[in-house]
Amino acid sequence: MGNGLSFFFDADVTGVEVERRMIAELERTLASAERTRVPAGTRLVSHGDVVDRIWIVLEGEVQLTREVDGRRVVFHQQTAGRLVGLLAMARNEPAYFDTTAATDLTVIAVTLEELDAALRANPILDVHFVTVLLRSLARRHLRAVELRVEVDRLNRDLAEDRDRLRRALSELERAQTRLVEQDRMATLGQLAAGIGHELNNPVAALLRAAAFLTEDLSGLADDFGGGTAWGFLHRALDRPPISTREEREQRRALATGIGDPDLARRLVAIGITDAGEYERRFGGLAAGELEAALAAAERCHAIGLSLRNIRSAADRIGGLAGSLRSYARDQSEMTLGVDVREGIEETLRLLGHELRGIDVVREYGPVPAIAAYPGQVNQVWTNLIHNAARELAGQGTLTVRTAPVPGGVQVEVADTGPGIPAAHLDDVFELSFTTHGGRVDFGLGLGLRLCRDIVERHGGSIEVQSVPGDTRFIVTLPVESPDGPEAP
Amino acid sequence: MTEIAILVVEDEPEVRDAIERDLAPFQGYFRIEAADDVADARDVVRELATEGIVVGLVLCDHLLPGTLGTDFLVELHGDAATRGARKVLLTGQAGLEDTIRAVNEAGLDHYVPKPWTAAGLQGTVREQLTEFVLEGDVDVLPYVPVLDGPRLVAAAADRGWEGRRT
Amino acid sequence: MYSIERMARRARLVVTSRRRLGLVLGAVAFAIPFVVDFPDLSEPGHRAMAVFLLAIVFWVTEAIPLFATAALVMFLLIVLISDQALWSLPGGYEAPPFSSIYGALAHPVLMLFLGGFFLANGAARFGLDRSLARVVLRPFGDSPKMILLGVMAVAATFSMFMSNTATTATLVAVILPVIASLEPGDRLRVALALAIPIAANIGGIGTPVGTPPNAIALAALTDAGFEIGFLRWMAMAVPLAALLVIGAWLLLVRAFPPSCASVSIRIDAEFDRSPAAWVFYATFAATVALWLTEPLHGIPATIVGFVPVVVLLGTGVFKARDLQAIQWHILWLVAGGLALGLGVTSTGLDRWLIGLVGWDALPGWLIVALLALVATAMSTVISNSAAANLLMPIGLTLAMSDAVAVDPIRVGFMIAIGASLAMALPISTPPNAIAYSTGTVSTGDMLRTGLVIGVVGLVMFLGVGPVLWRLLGVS
Repeated sequence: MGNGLSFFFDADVTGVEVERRMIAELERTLASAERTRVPAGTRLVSHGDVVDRIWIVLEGEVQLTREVDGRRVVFHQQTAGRLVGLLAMARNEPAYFDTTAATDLTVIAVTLEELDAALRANPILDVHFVTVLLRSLARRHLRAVELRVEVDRLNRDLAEDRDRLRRALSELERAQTRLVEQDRMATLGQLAAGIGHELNNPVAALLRAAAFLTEDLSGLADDFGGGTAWGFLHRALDRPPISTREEREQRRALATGIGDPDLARRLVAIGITDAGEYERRFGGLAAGELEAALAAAERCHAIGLSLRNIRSAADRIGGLAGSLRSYARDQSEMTLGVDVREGIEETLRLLGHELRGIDVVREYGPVPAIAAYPGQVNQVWTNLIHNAARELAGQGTLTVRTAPVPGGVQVEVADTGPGIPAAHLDDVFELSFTTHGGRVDFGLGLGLRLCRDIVERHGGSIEVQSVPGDTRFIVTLPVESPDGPEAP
Repeated sequence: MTEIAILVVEDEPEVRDAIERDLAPFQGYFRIEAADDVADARDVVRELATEGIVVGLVLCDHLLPGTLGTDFLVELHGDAATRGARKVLLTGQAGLEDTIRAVNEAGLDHYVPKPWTAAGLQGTVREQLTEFVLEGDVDVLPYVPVLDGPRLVAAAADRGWEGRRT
Repeated sequence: MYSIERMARRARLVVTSRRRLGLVLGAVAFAIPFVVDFPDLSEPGHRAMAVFLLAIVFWVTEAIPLFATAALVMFLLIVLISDQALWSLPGGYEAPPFSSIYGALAHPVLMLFLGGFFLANGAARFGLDRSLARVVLRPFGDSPKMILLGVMAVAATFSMFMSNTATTATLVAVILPVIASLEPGDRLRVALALAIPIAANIGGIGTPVGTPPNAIALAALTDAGFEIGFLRWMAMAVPLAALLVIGAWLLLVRAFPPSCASVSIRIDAEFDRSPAAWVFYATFAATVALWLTEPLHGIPATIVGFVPVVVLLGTGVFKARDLQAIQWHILWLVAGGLALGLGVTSTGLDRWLIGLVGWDALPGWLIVALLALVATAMSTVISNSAAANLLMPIGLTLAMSDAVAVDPIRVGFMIAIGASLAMALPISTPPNAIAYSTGTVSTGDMLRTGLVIGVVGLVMFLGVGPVLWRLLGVS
């Protein structure tokens, strides 16, 4: 190898220098080294071609690219080197890359035979050639390692981004659920308030109409001499309601008094419960007259009864409408001087239909007025009482306690239902479900988590204790909300 | 000839009054009894039994103080004396589960949602009592004017007038 | 106030007390002949009288169901007066074989009736009654009076072959919606409700299978050796029955003038065209044709009556459940009457009873009239069949005795007719009960029209009948 090898190991000799020397040697050795100009964009070698020559690039740059998944990826440009096709030829395989002129090139094309002849003719060229080949390989290898490192880094970045996105997404979802729930509650609240207001007029009209009817009918009765039958209108209006059991007892008693169960039934129905009164009013009448008098009395009594029922039904609707209004007071306004007991009472009233059969015990201790969003706080009571009512399923006791605590109030909603399984106890505020009768139920969606959100927004806390037969939700609210929480 | 009773179980007096008023066409043909809770309804059933009167139809609200309407219907269904009574839930508040239970365990015959109409309620009562009268060992002819006349008349002829003049 | 509650309470009391009374009375009546010795009445006659008295009390009070009394009568006759009697009977008495008493259950006339049941039940099952009613009523238009006539014609015709009760039930079901659509004050409501049972009761007279009293008369006459063919019965009954229906129509139109201008009757019925239905229609037509042509082929109606039984069962058109649905209790009731007749005549009780009265003082027509009148009166308050059962043996024996000179056929026929003409009370017949149940007819309305039609009918059959029959050559 002589001194030629010194090139190979001489670190002072740059790759460019080696290449330059090799090209010079090659040009010198080859008789017919013809310089060719190649315009930019020309494809020198395509992937899969059999490489039968090399190109010595004297000026310009080439790109080594490949088509990957329909996209063209550049693998080497700077690192391509000045000898194109050398590696493929050395491997004696079809070309791996597409080789394209990145700029205008000046190249010398050397066929395999010419190269072979040149290498044989000039031994120093052989050393140059191997050196260039090795350096070229080393360059490419280095480039591969760099690529690998880059891919690793990119993957890591990608995973981080993915995790961040996932977290963001689930947070968004939770926020959205919460917003939807809040929005729904707010919408429902507005709807309820709207209905409450809308009901004002019809209820007022109904109540007034019932009063007018009573008045006019009474007047009519007086105009027509106020026959005995009209008295039954007032009797029906004024008669306190009695239980069906009492009514049956009255019927039995009267039947033994007058000896006719059918007649007794009719008499008690119009409020005559005493044989003496029957004698005074209807005694001595012939059968036909009795029937007529009784029928008239029944008709008047029926009118009175209907009036009374209209009145009490309208009263109830009015009461419910009032409750709806105050229950669903504007949700976005922080109000001072809120008495939690009032909100609880409204809620109990609105949920009255769910509480039938349930003993409701109120243990209201003296509590300070607090600053709160009344509409939102009422949602908490609604949620807790609704859950308790479903848990109790028509029997048992619901206890609502209020008590002062330092700097706030404590409200406890307790039921004697089957309780929340211990396994679920930690989750009740997390997931948007309610449990009742040991079952998981997404029910009305008045999630307990919503309660917790509201309570926490007020700077309070909510906790649960449950054993079968005694489940307590304990809400603590401060007298003053700490940060004037923003409106939902 | 047996007397047949309609039992109304409803806790709100206004609603009870309205139901009883809508049942007026059946007055005179059937004993109409009302109860404001399940305990009272049980008493009524007991008292009727001592008078030899069978319960033909129970119109029952669902949300009642103490015991739920559905539970009462299940109870009636379990008792041989009241098993044959037609059972109707008249309610606005029974959920799907309660209703399913009433159908499966109480042999619920019909469900009337509140608010009801007089014609609807009367139609249901007429239909149910016709069924009851036809199922039972009852002389059906007296009920022709108030129940499903053509069906009763046809059934009367089919029954072969046992013990009646031929 | 029309209160079922109250009526029920009272009815329950009445029924239970009547039943209790009936049981006690029946036992007492049964005991009398065993305690009291009636002169000139044989020992078997005493025993038969005990059974006869028991039957009277039980059938009148309905202490036990009618068919149960029939079964009891048969049993008592077997153990008291048959050749298998449990207590010895005096020599010289010719005891009827016990099998002849059981045999009443398979009497040829009952087989005729059974055939009638098959036809009637089939007609109901295939809706033939409704679809025919639809077709027949169409030509009567929509004038209230014509509709009324149409309904009566349909009822009368149907009840000739179907039971009066089934006919009434079918047609009342048809007219209930019509009644409901009329103004409450429209008297046509009453007329329609009354017309159906009246026409059905009268129509039942028309054929031997029309109503059980006819079968009782036919069977008793057959046993006594008198044959009336199907066609001859119809020739005697149908013309007068038709006249009576028209008369009843005139009466109803006069008494309950309709106030509406037109009425429409809607019957939802299509002819059943299934193969089974066709088999039934053919059987029905063939049976009726054979009944009506008896003089031509000479096959007795009692044998023809078994044809639908054999055909409908043989072709599988009638199955076991259809056989179970046959109104067997009516056949049992009739059989009880036949057995009672057998007991009364074979023990000489009938002759002894007749001997109590000096009949020879009375003209024959009066005796027939009296028997028919008694039949009507009894049937007004008790079952027509039971009344016929009780009267038939006495009447026929009387007719055949030397004391009087009347035609036994006319006696048997008139007892049956008399029983059918009883329609003055809701309890007189099931058709009346059904009409009353519509709630549109008062007892007073029913009583007045029923009495008039009953009396007019009796007069027609007693007075016009013999003349007409002589003219027709069926006397």
